[in-house]
Amino acid sequence: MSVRRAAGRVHVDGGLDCISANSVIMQRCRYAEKKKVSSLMPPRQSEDTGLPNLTDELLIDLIVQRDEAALGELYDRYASLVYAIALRITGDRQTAEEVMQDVFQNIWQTAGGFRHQSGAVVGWIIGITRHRAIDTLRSKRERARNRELTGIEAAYFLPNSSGVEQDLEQRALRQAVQAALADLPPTQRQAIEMAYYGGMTQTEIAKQLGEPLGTIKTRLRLGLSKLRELLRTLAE
Amino acid sequence: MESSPEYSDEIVDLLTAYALDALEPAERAKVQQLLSERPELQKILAELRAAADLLPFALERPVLPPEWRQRTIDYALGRQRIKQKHSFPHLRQPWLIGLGSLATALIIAVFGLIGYINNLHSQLTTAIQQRDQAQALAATAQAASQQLAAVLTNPTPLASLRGDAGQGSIYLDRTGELLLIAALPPLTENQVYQLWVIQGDAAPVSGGVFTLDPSGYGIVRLPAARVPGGSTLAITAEPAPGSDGPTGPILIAGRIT
Repeated sequence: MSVRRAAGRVHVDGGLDCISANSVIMQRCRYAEKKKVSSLMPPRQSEDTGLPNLTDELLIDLIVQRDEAALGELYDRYASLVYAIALRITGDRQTAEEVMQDVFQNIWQTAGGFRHQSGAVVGWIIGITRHRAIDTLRSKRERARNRELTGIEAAYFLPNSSGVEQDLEQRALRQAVQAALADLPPTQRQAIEMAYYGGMTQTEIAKQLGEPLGTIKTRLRLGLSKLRELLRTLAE
Repeated sequence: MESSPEYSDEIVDLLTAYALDALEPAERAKVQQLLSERPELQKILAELRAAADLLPFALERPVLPPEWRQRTIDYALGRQRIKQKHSFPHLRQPWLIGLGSLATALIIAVFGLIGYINNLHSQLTTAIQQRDQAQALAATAQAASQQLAAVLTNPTPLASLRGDAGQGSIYLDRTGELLLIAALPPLTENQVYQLWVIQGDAAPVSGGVFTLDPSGYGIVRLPAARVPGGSTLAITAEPAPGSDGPTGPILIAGRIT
């Protein structure tokens, strides 16, 4: 199958013409063409669908249209991140898998809501994962015990040595965030992680650590301020 | 905080804890009031939330078993109602076969209860799905607010929408779309907020519907071309999923100059 471009119009052999309004529409058009053609041919590898080339936002658009393959592509991109967050919060492998399944079910059911609000897809997915995992954690009342187990449980699956790890951008981002976190005083990092991953209020954190509330507020403010500076650096 | 010398530590403390969902309900209400009075604080809040959401990127991403992919998709699409549990080979000992038979007999004995249990399960599933959808919508709004600072070409609003019920501001983003962020009271069940574009004496045209995030803020965007200069923008509460024309009173309104 070949693709020809002429005067703002793209023609895919054996398919329809696509008017080139902008790159986003072109991506959708090409995907629609490939999907149409592939429906007439034997099953292909996923790469042939063009899905890996689509932006996250376009995948969400396709999910809204009940495109199962688009959900699969989103899984390929973010399932390991979703699982890592869920495992970090719940500290239990089976619970983390269940949270992951719930998250992708949520994505399938509520993608239309995202589509109209235009936030970053990954931020949306992280938000769903945190809410779901923290809710599960609270309901099971396993917070303290499981947090102690997190380091052990995380080693169940060997770190990825191919696939996702080959994404240099992802690795660079991870190293940058890990370095920023390593630069934080342990007490600031601990307070932030108790709030973010533990779903604890600052009052609960102060009580658990036996520290004055004002001290916890200061730790959260200074710690997140440093991460905010990192965010600005990454944006540049 | 060095990066925000214009704000007191007390304000940044509150916004930080708010961004981390680390406030008690009364404190959250205090921050929501503060945000409604000082909309400029939304920018620093969005940055703090985005900074917090960097944390997961420091986690090592594991390799997931290949079979999880189809299992997750099947579950998401409703083809598999019950999540597949992990298998435990040590339970396959021969002496447990008898125990299994006993368990089977017990299951048969309570077979008459299955219909009742299924009914309860169905109700529970529906409730969980409704709750999850609400959480997802809240996360959506939060993600949108996180991106607010990054997409605005100019932090100065093009117009303000005011009324007794709340207030809103219109911004122009980098893609040429108008972005409305509004602070409004909570909706009742099965309601949405709907934006209306009114040109002269023409009938109001819908500019989109939206709901509120947990902070009480809603965001909606629409192409700038749909809102000529001089147009009036108004927001009403409408029955979900929205109305062809406004049926409720105008809550806030403003004119695009």
